Amino acid sequence: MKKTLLLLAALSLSTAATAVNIDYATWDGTRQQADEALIAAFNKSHPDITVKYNLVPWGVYWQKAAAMVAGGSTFDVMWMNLDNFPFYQSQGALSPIKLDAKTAAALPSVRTAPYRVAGQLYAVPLGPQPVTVYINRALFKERGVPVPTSSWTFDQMLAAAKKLTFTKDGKQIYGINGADLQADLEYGMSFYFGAGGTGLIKKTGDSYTANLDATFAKTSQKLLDLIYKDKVSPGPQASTQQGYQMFLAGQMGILVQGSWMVSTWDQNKELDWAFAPFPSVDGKQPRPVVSAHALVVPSGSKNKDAAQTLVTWMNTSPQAQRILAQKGLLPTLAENYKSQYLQALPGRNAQTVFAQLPNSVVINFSLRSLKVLPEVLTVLSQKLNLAWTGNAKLPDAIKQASSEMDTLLKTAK
Amino acid sequence: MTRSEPLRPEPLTRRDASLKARARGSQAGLLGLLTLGAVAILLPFVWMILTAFKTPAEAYTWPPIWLPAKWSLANFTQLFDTIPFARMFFNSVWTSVLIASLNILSAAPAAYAFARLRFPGQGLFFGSHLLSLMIPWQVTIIPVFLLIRQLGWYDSFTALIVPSIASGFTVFLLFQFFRSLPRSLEESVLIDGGSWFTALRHVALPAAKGAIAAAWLFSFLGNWQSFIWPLIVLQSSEKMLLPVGLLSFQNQYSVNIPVLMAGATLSTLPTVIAYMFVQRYLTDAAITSGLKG
Repeated sequence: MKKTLLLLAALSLSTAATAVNIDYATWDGTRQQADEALIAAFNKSHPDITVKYNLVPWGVYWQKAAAMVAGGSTFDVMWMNLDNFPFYQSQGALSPIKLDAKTAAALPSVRTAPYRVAGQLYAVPLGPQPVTVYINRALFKERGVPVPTSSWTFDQMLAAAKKLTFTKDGKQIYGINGADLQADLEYGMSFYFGAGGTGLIKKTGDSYTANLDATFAKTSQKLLDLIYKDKVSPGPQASTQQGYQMFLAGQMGILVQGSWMVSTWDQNKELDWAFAPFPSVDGKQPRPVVSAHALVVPSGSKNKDAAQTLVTWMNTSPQAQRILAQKGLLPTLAENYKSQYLQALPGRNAQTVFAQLPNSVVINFSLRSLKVLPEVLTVLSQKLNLAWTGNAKLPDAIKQASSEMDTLLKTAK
Repeated sequence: MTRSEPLRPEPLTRRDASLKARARGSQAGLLGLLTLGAVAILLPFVWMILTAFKTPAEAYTWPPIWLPAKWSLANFTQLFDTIPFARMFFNSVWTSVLIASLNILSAAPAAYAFARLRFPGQGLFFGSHLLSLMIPWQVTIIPVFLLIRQLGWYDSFTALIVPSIASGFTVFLLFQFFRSLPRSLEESVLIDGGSWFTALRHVALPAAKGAIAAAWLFSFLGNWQSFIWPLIVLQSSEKMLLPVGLLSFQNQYSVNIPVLMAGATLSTLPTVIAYMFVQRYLTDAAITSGLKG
């Protein structure tokens, strides 16, 4: 008996001694509980690897990442987004990820394609994070506004927003967060794609040009009118609070935001929120934008094999997918875990999130290798922001943006 | 002892009365201006403290409301549940106290030597201290980080503390003070056979209490608020400092303001305590500054 115990102790000691320690880094504090649950499950099922959770806040995530890459010291598994992927990949800072054929085939191609360079995969996508519509059901009920159905249109949304804009107990309640719906940013772009938009930059042969066409101008005007013409949304002059803050305070009826905000609404237990279908524009099928974040293994990792095991497990294993869905988060293979996701968010009309997934769009996914993309998008955003803040007329802002974008794009290959 | 006539005040002329009224008016104006300044400084602190006790709905209401309808400690509970706040707080306190103290220990002899001794290369050494004030830290951050990594100090408190021990600013601050001390005090020590070190220890340092307190406080506050360097050289959450930890409540698309304010409220306590602790010396320094010249 004593010998057996000693043997067991020796065995456990040797296991502990050989366990590989890897560091997992994320910027998304809203899913901290889910990530910690995932890591606990992974550590349990992989005794040879010990994962440590590191939350690096969004505001400093890329500064820290750049410093670490420059210094050759790094986390083993890191969150990555499409805006930053081209830089890190082109600098050789990311390690290629090898997946077996079955796992690779199961991944959604729309979100893996942007992370594939020269046929080599450099990141495994996390669950889809689509732009969604939230409603405050208590306000809808109070104002006698019907709850949106799958055939909800932009005009019906506007009519609802008008009814939801009123004064209550000395406080202004607003219909919708128009200030967040700048047409070149993900929330506003969801309406642009829904209106038939094909992308803000057009590639013809080897050259690129700005594509701020009539669809873009018309959609932008509709969204801008929510603030200045229809007056159903606070502009920068009316409130310094952001849309989600007013929604959280019960002062906004409709909010266009991302599916990742679910845990934020938990802060206010009295908030009667629900998902609503994305409204159609001009009779076309809604096409909301979806964020395609992913996990990468930096080249500087000293434990690449263990890191890759974690990445693959987190984004494809049934256990990890189930844990995420049960926490109300969409896993990578979302469709397979629909029932768990819906059970996690009872009474929130969460099935609408699934209904919109097949038609969702990854922004600029075909342009990620364009070196000047960040500068071009910054110019566009700055010009449109002038219109959104009431400092320029929209047609002038679009004209200026188009011209400056073309100047930058002329140098692009 | 003769009893003298009590002095009778001269009757005020119209001009005197007018001058007095003007002085009173300008004093009231100045007081008003200072009060406005004080209110402007205090208001954000008051808002921070009050918001720490509000529900999210109250914190985000527009137009803002000042007082919470029901005072709640829920934000403080969430603060401690979400991040290892106590550990971060402790890390920030002991590292800031240690770095500030080591700053003084290293800077005081250096500053005294520059102020009193003459040695080869003095100008060059002093100039290099001044130069360190003129180079933005952003320029040196990567080279220092590489050095730290090569030394194997990454993700250790050593990486946080050692590069911060020497401070050109503290040397310069204390140098200015030591230079203003009358030499006669130290000369009497030297005449009695004491060394420069004795003069520093028994004359200059006690006389420089106020300046040292100010330098310590500056250093403490600088390290207490230090953000980028700890963010870069520390990785483990059990070693993380408060400013970096509190930023966890700021996500890409949202900020948990009430919980952040709860953390910010608690994080101001050590600075207030530190100031109260050294305030006496700062006041003494103001009184004893008559020594100058």
